[in-house]
Amino acid sequence: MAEWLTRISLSCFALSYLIALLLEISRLFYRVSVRSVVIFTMMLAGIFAHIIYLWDKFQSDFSGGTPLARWYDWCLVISLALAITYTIVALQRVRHSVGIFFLPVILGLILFAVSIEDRQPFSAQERGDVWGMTHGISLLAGTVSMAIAFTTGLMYLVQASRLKRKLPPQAGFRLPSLEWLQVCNRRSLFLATGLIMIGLFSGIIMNMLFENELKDIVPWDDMVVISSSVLLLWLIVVSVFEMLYRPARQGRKIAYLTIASFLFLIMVLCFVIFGQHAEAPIVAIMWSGGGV
Amino acid sequence: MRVQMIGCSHHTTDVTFREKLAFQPTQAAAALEQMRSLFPRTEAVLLSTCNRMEIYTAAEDEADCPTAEQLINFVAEFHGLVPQDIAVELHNLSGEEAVRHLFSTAASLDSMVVGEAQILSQIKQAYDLANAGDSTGPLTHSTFQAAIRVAKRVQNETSLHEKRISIPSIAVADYASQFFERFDDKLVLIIGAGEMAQETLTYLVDKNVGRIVIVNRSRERADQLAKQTGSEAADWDQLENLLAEADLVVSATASSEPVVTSDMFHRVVEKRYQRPIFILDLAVPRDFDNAISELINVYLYSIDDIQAVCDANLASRQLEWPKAEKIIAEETDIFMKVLFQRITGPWIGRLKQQANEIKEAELQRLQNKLGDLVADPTVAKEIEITLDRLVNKLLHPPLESLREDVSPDTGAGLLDALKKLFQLKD
Repeated sequence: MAEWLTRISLSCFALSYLIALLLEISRLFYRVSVRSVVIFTMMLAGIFAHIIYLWDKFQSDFSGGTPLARWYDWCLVISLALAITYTIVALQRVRHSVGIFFLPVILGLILFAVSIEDRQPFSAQERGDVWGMTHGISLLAGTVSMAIAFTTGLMYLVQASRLKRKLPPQAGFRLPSLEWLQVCNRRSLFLATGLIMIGLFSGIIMNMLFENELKDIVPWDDMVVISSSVLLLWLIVVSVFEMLYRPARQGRKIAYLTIASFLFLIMVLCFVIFGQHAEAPIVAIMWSGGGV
Repeated sequence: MRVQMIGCSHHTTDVTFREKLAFQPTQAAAALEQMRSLFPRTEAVLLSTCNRMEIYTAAEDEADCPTAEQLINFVAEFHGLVPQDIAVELHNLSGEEAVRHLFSTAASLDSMVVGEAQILSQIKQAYDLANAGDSTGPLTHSTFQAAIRVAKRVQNETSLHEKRISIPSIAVADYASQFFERFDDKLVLIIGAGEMAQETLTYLVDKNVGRIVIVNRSRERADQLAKQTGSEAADWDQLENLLAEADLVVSATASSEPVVTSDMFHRVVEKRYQRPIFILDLAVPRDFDNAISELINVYLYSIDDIQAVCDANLASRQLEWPKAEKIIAEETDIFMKVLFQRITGPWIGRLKQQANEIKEAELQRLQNKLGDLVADPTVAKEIEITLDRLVNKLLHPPLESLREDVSPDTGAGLLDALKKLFQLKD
């Protein structure tokens, strides 16, 4: 890798995203024809720096034996996935203010990553285990999907509220149509439910396998296991409710439920990251993908 | 050269009159063919829309161009009308005024809804139809191509087209699009079959709506409108069922009492399972009970809600209007100069050629007369240069005046004078 690329730091892409957010906010106040181009340039530059930073980190951690083995790394991976998602959505909807909703979540994740940078890396005990990989990747993708559902749900509520109050269309603050937001919100919720279900079941299987092999296991009454199971149950109930109860399928109910689900997920993640269970190697593996 | 326009628009005539003079596409093709046989050396383009009927004619030689009276007679005869009845309602423009009018029309400055984009495509269609029928020529090609270019310039350099100012266009483009991502799978219910419903329908048809159903107390009128717009008509007693199915409702009846009461809509809501519904109540007085707007997932907009946007957009457009007019004035000026130079060019060339022939003849005569005195090539060359300078100095002032004065009135007069003074022939 070229030397200048190794000098890319977290502040490079965080700053790019921050500038993109400020430009998105400026839409509310005045019109500038080249703004969208600058936003895309900032996002592309940010994503490029983000990928290079993670790749560099992956390579240096790999030589140490534990690539992407910290919550810090995984928060950055989730924020990268969201940044890419936002850029794709914004490219398709140049005039819409989706960045106002996506970018704070992305920057929030980066800030959160910085705040937990000093935490211990996961154990590399079961690095390369198939169940561990399935578990970690599913939960990671489920979290990204849930974050998208949360963002689109929030946008739906704002848009529905504006339309209900009959606010005139505002050039600087355009949101996608209610129909689009509802479809995205619904699909992301279903996807997140499926992924989290796969993640949780693969975690249970992994724990059972470890139990047989007399390795360290997560106790079945562990707070993480209980809260994860409750989260999954909640998501299944929300999805079934959405599918079977017709009034819930349309309108604001599902958006509220999605936002509640995301907050629930955040709560579970907090149990995992800040609880004493995070010190247990298997727990770390469960939520990290076994040190993929 | 003559470019002229005869026609009428929504500014001065009512819809009944315009309907009488309207040319359907097949009629327009037939009319152009008839014109070609009547006035073989005239180029013609016929523009016929809901809001205007205009015939543009042009000919290199003014004598070949039909007079306004001849065109009025032609239109009257084509539609089986009395020329005197339509003559007073039609206006006639020629030269720069006709060109400016076409540019303004293409740029949508003359439209009922200023800034609407439909007129430009209608002009393109009219021009294509005339091309297909071989009714166009160099003058109409350059005029219409310039009009299309000017319209695009106005679109690009002003925000005149960005903000709509008619209630139905705002309702559909600015509001409905905030609810729906696509329209091809939607059911739109139109209550009423009046002018407002009709205008809204035109915008909805452009959105490629999946199914449009019109209900009206008079089924006959609903059928008529449905036939015109390629939609369906339904009986009035189907209203409640259709409300339960619809995604978007546009109501514009002339009823003095609400057509949809709160009680009736509560029954509808039950059948809809709280599916969101967007209702545009464009009637005055309102067709929907205002209490309906309080219901969950019901978005009820009255004409007043949209009027505010309409007024704001209108004010915003007025700021853009001078900019658009300046572009049109500038482009008309350039176009007229180019057009006139194109016409005068061959005559100037002919005059120079004629002067050169005289010079050559006189030079020859002088050489014959002087014999050995001009044997020296330097002297012969000097004499030739002197004669060239003399011809150029004599022709320069009249040609310069002709080039500078591009006004069709005085410019054409000067050209005629030049032809007569120097006895220039075709």
